[in-house]
Amino acid sequence: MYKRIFLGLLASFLAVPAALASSSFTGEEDGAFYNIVVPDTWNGTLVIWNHGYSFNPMLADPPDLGPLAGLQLAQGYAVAASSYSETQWAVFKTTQDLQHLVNIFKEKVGKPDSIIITGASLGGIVTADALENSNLGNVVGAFPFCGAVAGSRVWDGALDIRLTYDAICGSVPGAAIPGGATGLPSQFYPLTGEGMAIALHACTGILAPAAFRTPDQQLLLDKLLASTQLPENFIVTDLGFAVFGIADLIYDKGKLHGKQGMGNEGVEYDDPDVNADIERVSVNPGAARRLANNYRPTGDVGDVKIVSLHTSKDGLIIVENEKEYQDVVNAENLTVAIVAEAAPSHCGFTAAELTAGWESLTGWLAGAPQPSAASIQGTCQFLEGAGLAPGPCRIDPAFVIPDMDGRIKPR
Amino acid sequence: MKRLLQNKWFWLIGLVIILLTVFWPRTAGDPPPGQRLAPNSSERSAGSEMAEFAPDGTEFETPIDVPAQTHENDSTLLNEQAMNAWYGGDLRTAMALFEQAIAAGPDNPVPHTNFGRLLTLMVVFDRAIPLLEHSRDLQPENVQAWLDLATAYERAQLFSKSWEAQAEAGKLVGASSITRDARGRFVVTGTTLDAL
Repeated sequence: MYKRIFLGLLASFLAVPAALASSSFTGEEDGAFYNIVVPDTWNGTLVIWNHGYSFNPMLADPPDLGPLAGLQLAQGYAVAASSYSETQWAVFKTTQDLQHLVNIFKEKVGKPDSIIITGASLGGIVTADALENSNLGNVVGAFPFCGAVAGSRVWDGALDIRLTYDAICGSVPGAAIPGGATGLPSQFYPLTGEGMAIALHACTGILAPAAFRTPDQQLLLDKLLASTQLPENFIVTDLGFAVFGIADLIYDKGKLHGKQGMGNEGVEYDDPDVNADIERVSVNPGAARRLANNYRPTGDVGDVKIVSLHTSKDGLIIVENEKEYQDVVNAENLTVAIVAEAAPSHCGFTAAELTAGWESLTGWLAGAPQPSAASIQGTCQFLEGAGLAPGPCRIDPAFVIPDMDGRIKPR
Repeated sequence: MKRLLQNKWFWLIGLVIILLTVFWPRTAGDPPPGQRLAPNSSERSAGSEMAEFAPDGTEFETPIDVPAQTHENDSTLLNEQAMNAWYGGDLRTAMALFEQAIAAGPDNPVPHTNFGRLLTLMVVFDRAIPLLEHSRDLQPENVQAWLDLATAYERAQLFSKSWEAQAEAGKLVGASSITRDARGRFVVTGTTLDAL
């Protein structure tokens, strides 16, 4: 196994100058920019890269091809990416975006023998959705990492953060953020990211070292962190999604068109003060259905082989997403490996860890046995030891993924 | 008293004193109107929050009350005041002062670094990254300048760039010396970005 990887990667790195001889195609189609690179020594497989959540439209540059594109091109894969035609929770249209991307590829390059779909963060749910719905052709494999593979349920968590913030910080001078369960009072309400962070800081002192917080700020910060079960270094990020992300999701006419897709009636929050004070919001059933359709994975992935990586303390897309995905996808289709990290990150993988995940998937597609977390860790250590990719390698085969109900109450 | 008020020399001298007070040339060490004077080194050693931070997270040894009249020192003082405002909780003032510090010292990496770090904490990566890249360009041998960038790139999901920045830092200090602090930021083992 390792000999195959070593020889393959060695050949890839030796072939890098040759791989530079490639064809590129960039442009715009139906509101989405595309970027396609095909090495002269194309092996017939197309790798699609799905990028993460973006608050702003990607305008000028062609979309990035992902962190492993250099390696994948050197190995002979064509790599393509779409900017998506929507920003933020773009999943409402990404199946069409990827269909357009593959059609452009077919026009300009030819029909690929097979397709592998990869993606990070939001790109994880874009990948999961595409496996089940996009009919791209012969999709054989997928490699999501730090992916929001639980799908639309993550917005229940965002609603809880948004309303918990109001319950704890809403009456603190300078901390109130209007909008409540709709994130903001309107889609284009004039609040900036800086303004939101300043409001959060007024309540919690989060942007300063702990020694500079007032006792009241520290108390409220501790309460907010305990109630949301989020790490301190991600509360600004997560509140940003809960404020701006929810506003976009609800108000955008192409998304929920002003309807409340998430609610919290009947939810029992652990903190009794929060449970008593939090705003209760009814869900619009039609909007909830539309949100679940865009997208909550069903597990209908056919024969596709999937390797999914996550870091254990991910502060944005919590590791519990992987448990939700495991619950719906057959075990023989899906290998999940968790990187045990010391401090919370989002997608804080090393090059060796991601390369090991990729090599494990392609080995599996080539006929090797289904990889396990332990074998991916072994591959990672081999790559690091051979100097092929920098580590460290922290995949913990014994890691038990918690159930999402522990952090996002069922409703 | 009445005679004194009728004396033209009294009024003339008074006018001169007033004019001198208003128009006496200011030194770079004077605080701008309405802003608090930066503390001296004894205040800093007594635990004041006015400390200035180098990009590697250590406190600058340079005395704050520098009497020179250069833009660089304006930049240094403004950075001091920005840090004071930041840690004092006045973030809007801090951001305005960082912008002034950068305008006064476009080649001073310290305000670029500190403002970049604040914006990274605020999750405003599109503004943080250019500042941190400029700081890195000004001091390519500074390990923490690379690591600050690695943090911002990773949080902005620019993974390849984060790996490259980590690799450059690793060349300077050794990869095994790089770790994350409690806020998930890349740092050199044993150092802190939150020095008091």
